[in-house]
Amino acid sequence: MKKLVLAITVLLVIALMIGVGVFKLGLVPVNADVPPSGLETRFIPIAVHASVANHAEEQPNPMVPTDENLIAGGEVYTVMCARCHGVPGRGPSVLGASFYPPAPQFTVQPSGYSEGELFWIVKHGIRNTGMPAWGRLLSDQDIWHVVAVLRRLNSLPSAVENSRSKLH
Amino acid sequence: MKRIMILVLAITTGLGVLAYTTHSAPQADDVKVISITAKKFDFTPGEITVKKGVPVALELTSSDRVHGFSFPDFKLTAKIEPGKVTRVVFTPDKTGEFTFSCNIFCGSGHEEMAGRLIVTD
Repeated sequence: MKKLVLAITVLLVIALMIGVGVFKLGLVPVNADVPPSGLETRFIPIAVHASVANHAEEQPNPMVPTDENLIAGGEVYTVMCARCHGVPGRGPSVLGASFYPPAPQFTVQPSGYSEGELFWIVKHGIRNTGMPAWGRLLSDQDIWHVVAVLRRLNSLPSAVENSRSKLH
Repeated sequence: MKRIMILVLAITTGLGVLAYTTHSAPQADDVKVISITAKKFDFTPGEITVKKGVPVALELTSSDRVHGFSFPDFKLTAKIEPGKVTRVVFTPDKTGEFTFSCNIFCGSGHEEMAGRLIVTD
């Protein structure tokens, strides 16, 4: 029994030393110009979804989707989000595709998150993805406005679309 | 009876004087008042230097539209409206350089709207 414990301890120490060596010798790839590995694509989204679901408050959007509120959200989306997440009618963002992992393209595939979860993500950001915590730059009202727009990005009323397109 | 009344008067006067001297309102000199004007897309002045431990009153106004004031290092937020003065009072309890920013979307350039508070010893 003692030999087994000793063997496991030695193996753990060796594994730890190899791990530290790999990090310290600069062997971990950090370039972002390759597609994420299958492991990252498969498992990291699970952790992100679970964490967002755990932290976000499940609540409906308090902003009624009037033209006025959607125009306000459209302006925020166009100025702060569209560069990475795509402009309606223009296809995926090349800049967004250059992130690691690539930024979700909401004009191509609408988000599967609930509005409460989207609010949390916009406000708090997602680590190591390039998604900033907008809570420091936007009020809760601004964020709810943009969440309302995200839900309707490809079917915005013409008044909202006209106002938004003038910003380009 | 007269002696008792004099005694009561003396005690109440004494308590009054004590209360005044120990709880007098802060004098104007105690608080450093700084006026800040917000407009698309900056704060004027954009850099402020204050001393640690000295209370600061920021008097915030806007010359164009509604802006926000977000200062997470000191847990302060405020709404700045045109034609109104929003007063934010706090005491810097740490030295360093800290950034405050607008947190109500105000157009293209909003993300650059920030200012700096320098706290010295």
